[in-house]
Amino acid sequence: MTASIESGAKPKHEFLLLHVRYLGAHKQFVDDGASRSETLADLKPRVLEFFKLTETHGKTYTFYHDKIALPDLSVTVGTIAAGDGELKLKLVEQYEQG
Amino acid sequence: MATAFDLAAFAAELDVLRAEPEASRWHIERDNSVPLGVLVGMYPASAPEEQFLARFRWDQLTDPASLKFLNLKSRSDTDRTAWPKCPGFRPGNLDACVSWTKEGHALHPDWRTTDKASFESPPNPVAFVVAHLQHLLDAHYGGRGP
Repeated sequence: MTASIESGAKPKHEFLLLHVRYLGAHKQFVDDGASRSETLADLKPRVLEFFKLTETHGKTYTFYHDKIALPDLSVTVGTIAAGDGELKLKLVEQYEQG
Repeated sequence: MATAFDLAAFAAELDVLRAEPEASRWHIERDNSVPLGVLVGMYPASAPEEQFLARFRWDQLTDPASLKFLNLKSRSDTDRTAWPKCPGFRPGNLDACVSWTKEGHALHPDWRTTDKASFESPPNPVAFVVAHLQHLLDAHYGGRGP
């Protein structure tokens, strides 16, 4: 007998547990049902709003995964996570340097 | 001059620092020679044998911190080889010319008026600078100075 998905339940292979840490902020952004098909471009406004940040022409933020910058916002969180059920990202402000 | 309130706030910020995810990698020591200062021993993930001792000092917690690296043994702050090479860091000049340090803003007074470089005091200023330095060491470490 095939088990049916209960109302409101999400197929696990389509979602993952997502953590985003903004450096120096005590509280993390956590989504326990992030869609694997969500792009970083879709995710970014949600994360900026959570941390009460505003991106402007001069002040920008970049996602990092495993010390690697993720400048391509068209990539999906599922692609970054590969087969893992959990993904941890960092959000880093791009600072001026002399 | 730090007030009793400043000192209490700083002590609370050190507790936040000790609760950071990377705190197990750090040796955290209060810099008792100034009211608002901390020493943090840290290393790049790619080179754990390369130990650095960062010294952060604040005039006020809402301002950018002064950042210097100290010789591990003598604790001198004039040793260029005590500095890591990271974007914006200048071991030869013993400063980090980035917009989250006091030294960067001293070199670039215009930064205060530009959108990108102006400094907005973060909610947890001590954890903020230490976490950013750790991020630079992990993601952009280029060896030891000079």
